[in-house]
Amino acid sequence: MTTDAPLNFEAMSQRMIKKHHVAIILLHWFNAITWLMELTTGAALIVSPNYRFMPVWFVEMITEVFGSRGNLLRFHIAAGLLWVTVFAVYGIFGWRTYLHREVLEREVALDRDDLQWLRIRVLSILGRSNEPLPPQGVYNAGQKMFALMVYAMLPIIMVTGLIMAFHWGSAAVVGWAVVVHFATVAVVVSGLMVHVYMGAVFPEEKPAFFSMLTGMVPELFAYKHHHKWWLEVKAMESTPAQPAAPTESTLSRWLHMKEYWPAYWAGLGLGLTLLATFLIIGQGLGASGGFTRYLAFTLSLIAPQYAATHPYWGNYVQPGQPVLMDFLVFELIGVVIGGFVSGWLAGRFKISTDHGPRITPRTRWALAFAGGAISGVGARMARGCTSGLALSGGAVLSAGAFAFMLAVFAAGFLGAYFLRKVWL
Amino acid sequence: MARYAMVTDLTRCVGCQACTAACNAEWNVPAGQARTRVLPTGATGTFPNLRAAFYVAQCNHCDEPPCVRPCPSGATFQADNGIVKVDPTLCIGCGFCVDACPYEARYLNPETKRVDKCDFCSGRLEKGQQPACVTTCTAHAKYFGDLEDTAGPIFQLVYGKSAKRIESADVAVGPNVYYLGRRDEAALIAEVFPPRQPRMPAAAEFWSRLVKPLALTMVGATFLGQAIAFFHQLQTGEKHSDD
Amino acid sequence: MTSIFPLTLSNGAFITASLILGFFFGFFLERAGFSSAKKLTAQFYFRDWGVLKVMFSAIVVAMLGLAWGSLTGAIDMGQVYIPDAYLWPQILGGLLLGSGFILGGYCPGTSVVAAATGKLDGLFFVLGIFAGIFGYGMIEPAIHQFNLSGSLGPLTLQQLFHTSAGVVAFCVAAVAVGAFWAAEQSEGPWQLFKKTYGRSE
Repeated sequence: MTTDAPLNFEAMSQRMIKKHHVAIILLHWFNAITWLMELTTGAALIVSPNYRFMPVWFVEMITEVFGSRGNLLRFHIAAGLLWVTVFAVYGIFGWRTYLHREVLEREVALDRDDLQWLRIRVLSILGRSNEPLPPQGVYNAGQKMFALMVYAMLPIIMVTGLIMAFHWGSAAVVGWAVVVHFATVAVVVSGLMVHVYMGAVFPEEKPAFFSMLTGMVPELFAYKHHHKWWLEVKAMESTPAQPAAPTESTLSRWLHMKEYWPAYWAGLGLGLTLLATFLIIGQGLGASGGFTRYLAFTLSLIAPQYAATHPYWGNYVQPGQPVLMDFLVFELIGVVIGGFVSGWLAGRFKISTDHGPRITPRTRWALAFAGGAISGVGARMARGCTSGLALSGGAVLSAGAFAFMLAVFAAGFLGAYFLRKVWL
Repeated sequence: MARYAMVTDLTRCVGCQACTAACNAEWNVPAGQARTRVLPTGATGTFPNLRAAFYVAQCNHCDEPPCVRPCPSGATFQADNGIVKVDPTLCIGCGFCVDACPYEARYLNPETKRVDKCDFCSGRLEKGQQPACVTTCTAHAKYFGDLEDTAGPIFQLVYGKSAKRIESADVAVGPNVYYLGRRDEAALIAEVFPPRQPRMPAAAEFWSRLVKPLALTMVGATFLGQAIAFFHQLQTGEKHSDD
Repeated sequence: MTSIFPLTLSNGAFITASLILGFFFGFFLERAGFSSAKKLTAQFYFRDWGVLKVMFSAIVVAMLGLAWGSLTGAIDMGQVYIPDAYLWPQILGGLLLGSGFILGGYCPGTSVVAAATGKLDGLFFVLGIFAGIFGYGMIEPAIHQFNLSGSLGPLTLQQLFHTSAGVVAFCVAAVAVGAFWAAEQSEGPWQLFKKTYGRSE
């Protein structure tokens, strides 16, 4: 690339270039909040004067906030498990992006420039050097050092935490786990203090702090503080650029996306909806129970006496209790609206029939009706369908739900073989 | 507030182990472990001056319990009524307290992975009952009650009949299980089963004496370095050349 | 300590909340592609792991949320409905539902979403469900005894394995993440198997 043209520092200070992916920003702040909570609760858990390092008033205050020391410990473990789970998910799905050897060499390993940079940086902060800092990559040597330390310490903190939480191993193992947990956290805390100071207080690194909110840094900042990375970005930009796509908000893009959403994002949305349902209503999502109520209601209109005394429908038709006053009844109406709105926004609403290439729509309708009837019987026999029993029951770890789930998948895979002419 | 204590009359104890059995049943103590046990001293001395006793051992709910401080999670604590308890919701099963007890009164429950020991049947006390070992004792050798109740039996036995503690010159932490005997059986027990010095496991020792000071120094030094840098920054003024 | 959740709602709030929660349920089902019988049944031909991925990621998210809430005391799990386990009817019901699923292309919840996006086969499936449930309700008294067999009450996995909810939640999450990982490896183990040992087509 050429650097013949003089650099316009004014323009460069205005122009923002992307540094962090949104996933990293979210992980960073999740991590920050979790660390704050875990350090607070962890410090308050250590009461014995042998090991305690926070003043008694702090320990008592935090304990009072949580009600009891038992709650405090439960919270510490719960937040820790959440933290381990999130990192495990990131590690498993993102190891190619974050933990691959090339990535680690680029973002974590220290080179000769980095070592020089560390020496000069420390001296200049203490007012003992005016040498120019050597050029840095996408992360500077200080950030790399911190990352190295965190990569080394995190697994130890996680494993020792799990050992204590679940009493793994003998008493000696648990005893040493306590000590190692404390020691490794102390190491990270001393690094964390520098990290927070550099990010939040040190004036020259302010753009780095804001990049953890917006994901962007001014080009001038990259030029001055991460020169090697700036060169890489410039080299990328000088290759023929694609025509810029019209800008569209992320929300609008996701709402009008022609493709189905990636499975995990749809699953996340579904999971949060399910969680909200448990929290608000006290039961899970479902479908077949709602159908049953609609039928019972219709029956009670046609033949009230028969419906009320029938050994099955009578369960639903009881005096003083409106048959339709049930979560699933209203939820199903919402499902119809939600499904329609989603399909319509994505341009997927179309009167059509989904059928395999070897059968006609008419056959497909008959098969769908038959399948629906068999499903209806199965769902009522099991007291729930894929939504009401497998999904909702699975989330509360019901044993029956998992047995049901296995049966559904077993029949599905077996039936798929015999019905391959219908679908393939 | 009460100060609970127990008195065992060694002249009455016949070593039948009914207290151990009752206690194990009451608190689901796993096989091979016990909250209270009966240990024969064996005969000592020369004929015809032989002495022997049954040492009815259990947690002594000491005035200065050596097991409380080593506990890293605060699960072991002394209640206001003097009873030393283990909160199973807080216990992580590190076993520091087991090593600390001079009377070997604690054990790690292999099923729950938590430490367990005699708590003077606190659960029964709340219901107004006496400890299981006291009500079961076939020889009526055990007494339990409030030491501060001057009219109560315990006060009378301890101060009136001068029941003895099992202590030694090295280890005197104020046990609250007292022993009555005609021929100073308490001294015999202290001779055969002397309370041992509280032990600190290597991990606990390492933590309190090395890791904690090192960690505080490290964090403190980092803080100091940053404070210096911050003052330097304030003196030279903030540069805004980048923005 | 009294828990905040589940909430106690007035009738109006209850109906509104039900409609809104249903809306999001339908919305996310449609977004996952569950309004298409072809996409759903592709799971059973190992061509698309969407069903497994969506379902288990939803279960894990809700499960971890509940576990976290109950550990911190925000949720009173005693107030949350846990389905009663009836082993034999649930296994037979599962087999029937699975058969209906592969024959008809949907399960009850997804067929509603399919019908809502204009799929006529989805509509017929919904009509089929009504017929099936109606028939079942009429004959239920005859098979009532079987229907109560294998009754275990609201049994949970942690009770079954004599461990804590946290351990089970952690294991389920770990198994799910492992299954996701397997599903991500060249679209699933079956493809990998075919690629390695199968004839080239």
